[in-house]
Amino acid sequence: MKVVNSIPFESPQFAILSDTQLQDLHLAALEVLRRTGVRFQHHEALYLLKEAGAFISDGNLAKFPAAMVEDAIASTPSRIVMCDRDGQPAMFLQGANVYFGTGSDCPNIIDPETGRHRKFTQADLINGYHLCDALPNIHFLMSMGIPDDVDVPLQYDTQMALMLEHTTKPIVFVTNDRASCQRAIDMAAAVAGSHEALVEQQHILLYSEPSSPLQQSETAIDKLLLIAEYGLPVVHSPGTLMGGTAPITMAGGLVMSLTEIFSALVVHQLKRPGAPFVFGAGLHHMDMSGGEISYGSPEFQLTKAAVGQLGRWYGMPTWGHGACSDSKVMDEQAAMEAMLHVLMARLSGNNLAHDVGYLESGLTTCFEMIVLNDELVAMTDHIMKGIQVSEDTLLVDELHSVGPGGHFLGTEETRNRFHDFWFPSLLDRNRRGTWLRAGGTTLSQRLNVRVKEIIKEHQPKPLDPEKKRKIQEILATAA
Amino acid sequence: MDWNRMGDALYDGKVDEVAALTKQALDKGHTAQEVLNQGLLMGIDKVGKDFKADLLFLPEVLRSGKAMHAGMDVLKPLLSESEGTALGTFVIGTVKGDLHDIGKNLVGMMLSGVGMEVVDLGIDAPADKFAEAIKEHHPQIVGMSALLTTTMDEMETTIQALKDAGLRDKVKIMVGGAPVTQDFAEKIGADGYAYDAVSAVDLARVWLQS
Ligand code: B12
Repeated sequence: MKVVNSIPFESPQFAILSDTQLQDLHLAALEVLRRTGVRFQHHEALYLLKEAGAFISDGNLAKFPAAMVEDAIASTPSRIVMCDRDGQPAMFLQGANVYFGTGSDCPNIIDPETGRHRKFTQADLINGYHLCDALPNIHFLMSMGIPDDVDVPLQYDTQMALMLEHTTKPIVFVTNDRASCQRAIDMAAAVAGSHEALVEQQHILLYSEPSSPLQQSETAIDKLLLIAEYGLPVVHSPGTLMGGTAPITMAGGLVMSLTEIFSALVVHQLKRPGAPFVFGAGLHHMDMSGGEISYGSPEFQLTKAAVGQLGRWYGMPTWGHGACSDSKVMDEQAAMEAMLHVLMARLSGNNLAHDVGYLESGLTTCFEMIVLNDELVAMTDHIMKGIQVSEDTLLVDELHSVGPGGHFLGTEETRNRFHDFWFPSLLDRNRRGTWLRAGGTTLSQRLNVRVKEIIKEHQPKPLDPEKKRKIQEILATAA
Repeated sequence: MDWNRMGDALYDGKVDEVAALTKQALDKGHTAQEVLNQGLLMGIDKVGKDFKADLLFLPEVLRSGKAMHAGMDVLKPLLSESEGTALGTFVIGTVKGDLHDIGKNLVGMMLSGVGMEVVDLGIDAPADKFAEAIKEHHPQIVGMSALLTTTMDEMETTIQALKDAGLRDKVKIMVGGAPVTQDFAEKIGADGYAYDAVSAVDLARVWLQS
């Protein structure tokens, strides 16, 4: 049978905003940038802005003509290719590609050995990095925890040094200030061979944040300008709290986020036109029964989808969230919210879906969640492939030859194609008897076993000892 | 005076109406102290109880707090010095190096919502800012907020600075923020820790009564 007049439309089609809605959000943000403005606690930024035609009043309040903002958007590159530690292309941040990675700085962990909630340590860093290095569907690493047993001024430097050593995957990093950001860049350059090689390979990406509402702190802009100078990528992502630091509607939260992103982007592009910048925001609302910040709400998914779509509309790589949850433990709630996150990230096309492993709105990380995310990505791969409808897949001849009352168990087509269906590695589809004989375990238990196996067995590709020594030298200059 | 009507207006967070009813009560000859105790405080107590019972949500409580404040503004000039400050003054700020303020703002609003005078030092507040505020506002309580493990130690630094300035014993110190614990509070020599805004109000009330 011939399929006529059909354009392949295989994968799920998904968009949250119409063209007019995109335009309305954009125009509203331009109005806030023009009328309300954004405060910059940063001399150089204010100078750059003034020179370029922004209106500065009240000491540090910058207001932006629309053209300035649109120029900055136009000069931002539409893609970033991030390489692994060996300089091989690993992530194409463009279009609707989705890559998953952990997310940062949790002060606590659910101990995989004891199941207890405790402070995060340096040993956990190494275990967590090995876990991410091993899992095929964790594509980048962002330090999931902040080590309590490392001196405060050294915590971020230690993260960077260990990330470079314990995984070959691309790195998203958080850091204190300009000086520690410089050291992070220097360490990564030591690994790449030179600063020039690092910039060519774009192996690391800086994460920084505005201080909502409508303020840019001195340290954040210090780091933003430094990274721009190098031409290394950055995401400057507002952590918008609707009903707290932002208006209580999703549209209002998006407008405020756009305002903060673009005010920073203008400075960033003035510093170095064409420097790589990722469009991102995380829009939470406060759960008004106690004021907690939600990472698991349906609205968080909607705004995440909007951020992905807006970013593509502007022609910029985008940021988003993977499996994270408001739950305190790896339970049914965590799994539900993880699934929703992964599926929605896939549908929304957020290029860098981070914070995989977050529980308790970012106060605790959980390695089992990271493994679950890996499994969910594999599962949703098969959703994103959609249904192929073609002469080749309609199998009308196959149906005809088996005919009424027959079966397809041993046909050649079945033999050749059964593998196209997804095989889970951790979900269980067995009959009860088989499941019982294999131990009758729950998914949480299997996730935990997998975590422990990987931590015990996985050895990442070793870093050249000479490079390791250079990193240690740089680390020694911190404190 | 229909105290119930005032209580309802307060409960519903009707800022202007509470101010108007407060004026009306004074016009009818009630003393400021009566209006405060029978009208405003009774009303806000019900709000607090219903919040604890999960019948009300934060924005409702905070709005009621604003209404309470509108009534207090009318009464303040009439309350004698001692009565006016009887509910206490609370200086609050986020410590140096830390820019998180929503939790601190929430605590501040809840305190002011029950009639306390709240002086907010904002974010990134160094020790001397706390010291200055103590000298200027004579609070009974100083609250410090930190959301980062990297800035928690700044609380200890601030307490030490207050000691050095001879101000430590003039105030009670309450600390809070997601990474802060009771143990930590004790370790750094704070007088108390509160887990959330409601317990901060409760603890402040206990301290002020004693
Ligand atoms: C929102 C948020 C932000 C916003 C803050 C906006 C604002 N205006 O406040 C933004 C996006 C700006 C931000 C910035 C950063 N953040 Co932040 N942030 C959060 C987040 C998600 C929620 C905090 C919050 O508002 N909670 C809601 C409020 C209502 O709760 P709360 O603050 O805990 O307050 C309650 C109680 O603690 C208590 N309380 C609070 N204060 C006080 C004070 C007193 C006296 C008392 C009695 C009680 C009390 O009562 C409150 C009400 O119940 C937390 C994660 C988390 N879940 O806590 C991370 C988190 C705290 N941030 C973190 C980090 C790392 C950062 C950055 C360094 C990131 C970066 N790379 O730039 C910067 C820090 C900049 C700086 N120097 O401070 C880490 C901290 C890690 C660590 N070292 O401890 C966390 C844990 C997230 C994470 N895993 O990365 N952040």
